[in-house]
Amino acid sequence: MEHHGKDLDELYGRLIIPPLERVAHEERTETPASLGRLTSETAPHLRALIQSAENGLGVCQLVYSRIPILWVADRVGSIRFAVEETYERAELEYLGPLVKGHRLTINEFRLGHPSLLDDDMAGRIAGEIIFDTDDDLWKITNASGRYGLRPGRSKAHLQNVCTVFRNHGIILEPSFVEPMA
Amino acid sequence: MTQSWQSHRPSLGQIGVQRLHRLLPSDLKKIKQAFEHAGAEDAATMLLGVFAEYVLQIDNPHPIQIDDVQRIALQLKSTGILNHSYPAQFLVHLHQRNASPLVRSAIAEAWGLDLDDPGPGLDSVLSLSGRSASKKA
Repeated sequence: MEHHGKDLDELYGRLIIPPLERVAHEERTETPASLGRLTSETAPHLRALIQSAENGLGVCQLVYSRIPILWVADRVGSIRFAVEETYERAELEYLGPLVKGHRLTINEFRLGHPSLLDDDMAGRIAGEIIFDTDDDLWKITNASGRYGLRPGRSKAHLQNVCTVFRNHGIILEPSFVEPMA
Repeated sequence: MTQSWQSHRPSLGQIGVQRLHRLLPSDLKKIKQAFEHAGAEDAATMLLGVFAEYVLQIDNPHPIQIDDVQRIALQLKSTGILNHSYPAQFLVHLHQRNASPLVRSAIAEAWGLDLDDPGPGLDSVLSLSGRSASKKA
């Protein structure tokens, strides 16, 4: 199903373009190699990954409890996802996905939510998908300072994204943090 | 399947800088629950102390670091921590410790505070030391 204009604003929040001072140079110029769109073609693969952790595969549980999958609803309401990739600055050599809590050196950079989007970086609600080892559930959050926690974002927006995943057979528990007023 | 590492998850009192940077939804739930019991002010003071430690490690903030700080500030706010502390004092504390203005501004924005008018309580802030950032009297 396609949605347009105001429908999309209601479903996933209005389009936001983060101010340039809040976006790293590399996030404007580079695109994550792991970038994917949630479609009927990609969903089965993502579902398999999700279910691996749900079914108790420790490798998958441990990896995705520390390495979130970034997601964002784009201009046309498609859901994009990628891991937060890190690179060595001088050679643009891929170092690996960012492990939550790890601090990069000055010679490294990471590709956050703006890099998942088109050149104008316009996006709607965004956040992370992560395996919560406390209750062995996959959670979807709006933990994106630049898109998911901006004024106007709502639980309903996150729930609507959750529904899109559910329609593809991917069950995620929404965890909404109140955005800025 | 139950892994032994699950029992190694830190309690609220063990949340440090690294942990603060990667709070899981279940962590936020636990923190929120902790604030519903006696000792909420102490828990709030401890967590804000860790947050201060995290913020003060940022000398020359990168755009994504600002994003991180604001995200953590909002995550903490969602737990109700601001009801058990003096957030304005926390910002003054950061100012006195020469925290980056960009970082302080990001926190103030997240918490809905005016950076130029952080509010009363400066005397209390001056008496703070170490990890004690903004315990409510």
